[in-house]
Amino acid sequence: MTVFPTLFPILLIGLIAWMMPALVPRSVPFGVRIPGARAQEPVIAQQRRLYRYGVAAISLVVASVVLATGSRPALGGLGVAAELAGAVALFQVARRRIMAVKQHEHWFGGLRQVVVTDTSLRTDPEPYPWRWAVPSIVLTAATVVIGILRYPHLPARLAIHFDAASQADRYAPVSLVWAFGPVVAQVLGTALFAGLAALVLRSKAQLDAEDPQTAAVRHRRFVSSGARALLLLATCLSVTSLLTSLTAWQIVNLARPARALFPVIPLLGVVVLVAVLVRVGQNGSRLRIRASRGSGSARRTSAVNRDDDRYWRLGLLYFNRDDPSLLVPHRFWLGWTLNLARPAAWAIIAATLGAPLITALIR
Amino acid sequence: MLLSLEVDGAVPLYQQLRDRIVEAIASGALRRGDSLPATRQLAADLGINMHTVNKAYDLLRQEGLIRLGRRTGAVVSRDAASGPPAAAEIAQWEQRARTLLAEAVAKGLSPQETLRRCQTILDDFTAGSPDPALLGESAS
Repeated sequence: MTVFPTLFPILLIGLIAWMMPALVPRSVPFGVRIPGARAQEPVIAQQRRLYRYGVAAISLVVASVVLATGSRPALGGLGVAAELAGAVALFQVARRRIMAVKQHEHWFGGLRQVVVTDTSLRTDPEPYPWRWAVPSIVLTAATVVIGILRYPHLPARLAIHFDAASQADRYAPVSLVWAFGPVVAQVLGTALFAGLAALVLRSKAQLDAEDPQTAAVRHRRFVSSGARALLLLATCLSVTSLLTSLTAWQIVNLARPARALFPVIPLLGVVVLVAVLVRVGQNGSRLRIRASRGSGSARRTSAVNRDDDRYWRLGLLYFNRDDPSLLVPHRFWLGWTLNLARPAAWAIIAATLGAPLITALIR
Repeated sequence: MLLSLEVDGAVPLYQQLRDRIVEAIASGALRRGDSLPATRQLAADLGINMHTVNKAYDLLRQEGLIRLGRRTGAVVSRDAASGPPAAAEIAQWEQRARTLLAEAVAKGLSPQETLRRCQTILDDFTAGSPDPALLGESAS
């Protein structure tokens, strides 16, 4: 039982890395742009097999080392890092091999390379799913109101740590920062997720030039499911924040096992988010879309997607000065990544890394 | 409306973008009053520079085909149903048509064949029943 928390992330990451090749669109195996007609090339199937054997082997080795040495949390972290590094290395090997064959055999030679978009994605956009945003907003507002009402009645010091017998063993004097710090974090978190959902809805539509009509439908489903799942995660985070604050303010007094469940709720949200994205596939690539929606081989175009490998450093990082988009769909994985040629991307990275640092310094 | 650009083609991107939008208006895929995406958004979706989209929109504005408003964005201001163009516009168009037809004649395409092909293209535009799935709800 004690080994489980250490083993779980290792197995989960192993599984996700193993599934990766099946989740991305067929036109970018291992981050290499290929013409659709080349999707069945033997080199791709071969590299996919090698990558998967490698990921399975690394995960098993890491898991057995953790099992053999007991489950020290530090070791678990190290194991996850080793596993991720291994998966990235295997990805790079597969990418290089496929790129070499692609260049050697001139896969794009003589093909008409195009970029395609559907203007109706913007003139008739997917609506913002307010219904999904309301719960987290209401929960956050409730936390703020309860906090304001409760603050005058708080004791001079608050319990911040509890021993094994659920008895408080560390206290902090009540100040605005202590009472409302978590609330401010909750407000910011809710706003962040609401904003992220909006960004996702407006994120770059990377349509498959070989079947743009179906690709537009896929894009719509991809962004609307992604935005909803993000807002669901925001709701889960708000529930946990509210419960944590209620406990800290001594409005409810939950036993230790109940408190241990607090972090599980957002974890469920993350699991749902991943499950939704796995179901939909990157850019909606795993959705089955009926041919009656105006797709099918008859309406496929003669053009192929532009070979845009040059904008993907190592096949992982997007850097395109011409492209004004900030959020672009990942190429090797689910979800979105930043266009590192945009200054705003670096601001976001700095804020993400800096916020915990500043919080730690203030404390 | 689907917009497709040949990124590494010989024709400049802004020209391609302008041409595709003119064709969409001719075929009825875009009608008077329809909105076009914001410059930044269209550039982002196509992964091209914003100035390229700006240049195409500016060309279309000069030709009187779209209106650019600070709040409304780019809106189609003219289509086949808006009545005949001014004499000066017809003259300008005729000049360019002359060049295009000259290319056909110079390369040995017979006048009958040239006319037949022109007719086919024109029929495409007038019979162009735009795909409702692509038009969306913006046709108001």
